[in-house]
Amino acid sequence: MAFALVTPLGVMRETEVESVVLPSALGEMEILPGHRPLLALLVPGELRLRQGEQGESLVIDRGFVYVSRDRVVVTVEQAMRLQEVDVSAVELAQRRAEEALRAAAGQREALDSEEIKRLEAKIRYQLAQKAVKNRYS
Amino acid sequence: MKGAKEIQQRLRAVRNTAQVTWAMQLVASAKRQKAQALALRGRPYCLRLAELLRCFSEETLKGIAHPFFERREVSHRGILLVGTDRGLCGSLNTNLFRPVAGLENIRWMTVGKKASQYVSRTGGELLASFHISDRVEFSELRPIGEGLAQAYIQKRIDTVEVLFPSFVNTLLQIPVLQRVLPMRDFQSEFDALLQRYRLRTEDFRPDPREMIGEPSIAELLEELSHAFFRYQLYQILLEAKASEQSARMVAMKTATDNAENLSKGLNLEYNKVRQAAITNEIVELSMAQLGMEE
Repeated sequence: MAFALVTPLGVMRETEVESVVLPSALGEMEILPGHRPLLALLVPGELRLRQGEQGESLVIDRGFVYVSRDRVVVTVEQAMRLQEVDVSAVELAQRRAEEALRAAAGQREALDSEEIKRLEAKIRYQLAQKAVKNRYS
Repeated sequence: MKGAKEIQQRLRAVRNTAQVTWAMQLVASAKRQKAQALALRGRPYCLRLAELLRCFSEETLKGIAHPFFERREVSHRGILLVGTDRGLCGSLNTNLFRPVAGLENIRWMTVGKKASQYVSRTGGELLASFHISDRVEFSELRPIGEGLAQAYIQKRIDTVEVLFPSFVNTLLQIPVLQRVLPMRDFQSEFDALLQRYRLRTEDFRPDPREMIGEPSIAELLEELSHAFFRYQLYQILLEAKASEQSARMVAMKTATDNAENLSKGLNLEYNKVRQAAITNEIVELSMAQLGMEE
C-alpha cells in the first residue's frame, strides 16, 4: 500500500509499505493492506514502516492518520528520522521549554494559555523523541 | 530639437533610474525564490488537512457544538485583507481590492500598510491591522489567528474571510476571497483548493465506504478544525508573500527594461544632435573659407 508522511515543511516521505505502526490516541496500532477507511488522532511517539526485510523508524509529533483506498497518509506537525534525533539537543531544548513554563506558572497572565499549550505540546514531542531513542539504545 | 546638454541630463537621469530598479529587481528576485519555495512546500499539508475535513458530512456537523461550525445570520462579514507593506509591485494591490469595492456591512482586518490605507480611504470599519515580515514566521500568525477567532466567537463578525493574491506563477497572481469561518461545504472547498493548486481531482477521489473515526468524531473535529484554521491562514500568508515578491520582481524588471529602451532612444537622439552640431560647424567653416577665397 502507498504511504505518505506530510508535515508543514512538505512531503517528507512517500513510499510503498507492507505495514505501518502508529501511536494513536487510543494506543499503538498497526495498519496492513486492505484496512478499512480510518481517520485517527495521533499522539507524539514512534512511527514504524516495514517493507519486506526493510524497516524504518521515525518520531512524530501529534497529528492525524487517514487510511482510504489502500493509501495511508500521516499528517503531523513535525517528524524526524530516528537516526537524526540528538538526545543531548533534545534535553537542552526540553530544559529551556520547562524553564519557560515554570517562569510562566508564577505569572499565568503574562503568558497566555495558547502559549502555555504550545510549550506543553513541545515538551510532549521532546519526551517522545527521547523515549523512542532510548528504546533503541 | 532639444539641445545636446538637455538630452544628456535626461539620459543621465534615466540611467540612474535603471540602475536603481535593476538593483531592486535583483533583491526581489532573491526574495521571490525563497517566498515561492516556502509557499509551494506548505501546500501539501494544507491540502491533506482539507482532505481530512472532507470526510465529515454536513449531517455530522449538525451534532457538533463548536463555534467554528456554527451556522448563524450574517449581519457583519469579517474580511482579512492581505496587502503589501510597500508599493512598487505593479497592479497587485489594485487588482486585489477590486472584488470588494462597494461591498457593505464589512468589518475589516488588514495585513500590510497598503491594505489599511485602502480601508481608511474607502471609509471602512477597521478592527485591527497586522504586520508580517518577509520571512513569514509561524509565530507572526498567532495574533492574527487569535484576533480573527476572538472577533468571530464574540460575534463582532459573523464570517471570517480572507482576500489575498493567490500565487499561480511568477507572472500570474489571482485575487481570491476565501471563507475560513464558519467551516462547511468541505467537498467544494477541497475542490477549489485542488483547482487553485492545479491538481487533478481523480487523484483525490473520496472513499465511499464508511469511515471509522478514532477516538471520537467530536475530538477529531476539535483538533482538525483548530489545526486547519491556523495552517490555512499560514498558507494564505505564504502565498500572499510569494505573490508580492513575484509581482515586485516583474514590475522592477519592466521598469528596468523601459528605462533601458528610453536610454537607447535618448542616446540616439543625443548622437544625432551632436552630429548635427558638428556638421553645422563644418558647413560654417567651409562657407567662411569659400567667402575668403572669393
